[in-house]
Amino acid sequence: MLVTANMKQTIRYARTYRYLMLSKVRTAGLVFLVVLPASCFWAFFSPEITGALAYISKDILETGLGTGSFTIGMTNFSLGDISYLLTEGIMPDILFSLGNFLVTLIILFILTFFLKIRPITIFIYIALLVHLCSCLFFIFFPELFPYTLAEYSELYMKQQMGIFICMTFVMGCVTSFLPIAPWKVILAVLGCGIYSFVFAVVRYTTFLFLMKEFSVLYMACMFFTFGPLIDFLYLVSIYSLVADHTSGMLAKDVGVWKW
Amino acid sequence: MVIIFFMKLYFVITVLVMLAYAVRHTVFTYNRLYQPQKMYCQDILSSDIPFVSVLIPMHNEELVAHGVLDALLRCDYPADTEGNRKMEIVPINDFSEDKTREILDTYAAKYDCIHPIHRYSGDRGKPAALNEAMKSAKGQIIVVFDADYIPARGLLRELVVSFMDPEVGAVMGRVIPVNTEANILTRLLDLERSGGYQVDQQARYNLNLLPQYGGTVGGFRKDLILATGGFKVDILAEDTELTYRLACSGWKIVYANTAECYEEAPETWEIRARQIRRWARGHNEVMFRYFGTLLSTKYLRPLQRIDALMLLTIYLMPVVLLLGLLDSLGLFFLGEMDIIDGWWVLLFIGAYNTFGNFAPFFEVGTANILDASRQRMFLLPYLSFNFYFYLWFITQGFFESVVDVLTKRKASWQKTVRFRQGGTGV
Repeated sequence: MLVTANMKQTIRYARTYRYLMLSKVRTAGLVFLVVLPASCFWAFFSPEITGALAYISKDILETGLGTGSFTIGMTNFSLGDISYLLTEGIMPDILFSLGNFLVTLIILFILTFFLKIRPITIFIYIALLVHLCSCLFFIFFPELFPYTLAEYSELYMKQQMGIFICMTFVMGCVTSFLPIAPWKVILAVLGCGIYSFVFAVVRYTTFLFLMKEFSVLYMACMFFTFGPLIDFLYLVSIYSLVADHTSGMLAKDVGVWKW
Repeated sequence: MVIIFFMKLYFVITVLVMLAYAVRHTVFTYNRLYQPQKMYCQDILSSDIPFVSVLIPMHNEELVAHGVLDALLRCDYPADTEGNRKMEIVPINDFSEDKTREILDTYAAKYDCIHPIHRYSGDRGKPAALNEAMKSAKGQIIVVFDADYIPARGLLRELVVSFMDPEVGAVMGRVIPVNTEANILTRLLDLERSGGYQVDQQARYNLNLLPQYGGTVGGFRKDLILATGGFKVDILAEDTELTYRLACSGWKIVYANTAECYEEAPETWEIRARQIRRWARGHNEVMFRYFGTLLSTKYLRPLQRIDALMLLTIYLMPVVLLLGLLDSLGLFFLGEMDIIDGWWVLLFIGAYNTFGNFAPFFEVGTANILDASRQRMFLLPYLSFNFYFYLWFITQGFFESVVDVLTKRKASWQKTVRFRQGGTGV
């Protein structure tokens, strides 16, 4: 057969039907030796981790609010003991609740009639609706509000443990199945874990500060709006870095593809 | 106490349903990335490829009509023994008020294979237009394109060759946005489409489940549709209806991943909102009609039935989630948020994993790895906010479909606004 320099030696199918060979041993090894232990790490060391989180937050908050404002409490959790900060929040009076209600209504009105539809406006819209519910609750049934700031702090910490474990597990699983070197999977899991912890400190501190200094009226909005879905932002961001790297790597090494 | 019990029960059920979708998408992703792929009939080289009628419903399409007609005329579809191409192009002018009519007549005067139909009476909308065009179409095989699509040269043959298999009732090709450089929305839609076709549709085809006929870049057997009464004119999602009509009567639907076709994706969020709302309304109308039929049909195996059911209810999930959010809000104010010791986070993880963007982030990421795309991968986090966007507008579409069903209201067709500025856009 005549083969010239311009002719392809092999005609491959295009991207449409290509696939990769999975190293089952490598993937199983990563899942059992990295992902599961990393996920369990949070549960095994939950007293220490939540203790550190509570201690750092306490330190930061007391720098601004003065010492003695917070104490560290402990409670049982299905995965072990957890520590959390004990403090008192400010209950809103009727005027504060009404003021918030009106301001929220005005912003909702502006969003509805003056701003263009965007995903971020829908996100803000839903957050404001949650806050509106909170305002109504405090206007009509303030005495029935079921949480003190200490109870909220406990609920937050339990939820945070769930976030730590799930984020690590999800990140580990999605990267273990990518054809990349094991150390990159470990790096992604580690990066996700560290970011998760730092973000948890920032969020916990901010929440407690706002509710202690301003009002527990904002509790529902913060709980529902800046909860786990926000954690997914950094999880997906880290994943996109890994996936982009994988895509680039595979583009250079077409030999790994099967057709 | 009873109310709280049911609120918690709903919460837990929602988590389980979302996790079921998460498992489904994980299986799809794994299958697409690591399993040998099932090809369709593209390797058949037949001299007896059938005559095809290409139907293009058009309502005020003066901006894009040239593009699709020029692209179809460039197609290298086989000719018969006398040298005539075995295809006709039937653009259907459906109540247009712009220059669509003049454009089509100009093309018809110039090319013998273009046979336009002008409709200014009867029902409006794509299903009615297709029904009318099918009556005069010469081909037994019908291929449909929306007016903003730009088929590649070999596309028609790639689609029609599927019908060499007598069990195939419909075929669906892959849709790729052409205007990805327009703005962030079109780039995000490109990401979503990639996940939806490269992974989701192909994996469903690999696993002998139910690939979806999408109403454009696809074809079907004319007699099959006419024998069952044509398209239902009161349904907005005639494509989904056709998918389930065929699946419930034992016909195969083929997904042709090589048959790539370019479309113009919506360039504004307002248009996208209207589009997704219309899809949700139409899809849910089909859900109400076919839920029972799907459960009772004898033509689907258990796994096929489960997947078809999950596909049928996919536009119901945002509503389930929104109710889950309201439910959790209620539980929060009742002081009962401590469900499963704080593990309520699972709801949101399940939610995101399953419905964040019709395809979860790892499925979209996998599709882009397969497509060898790089930079657009960094847009993945933006899809998180689309979750709320879809939650909002799909829920609206769902309630519209409920009203449609309860009041027998007839949905009016809404055209997607075009953005092309002359030429073919390629």
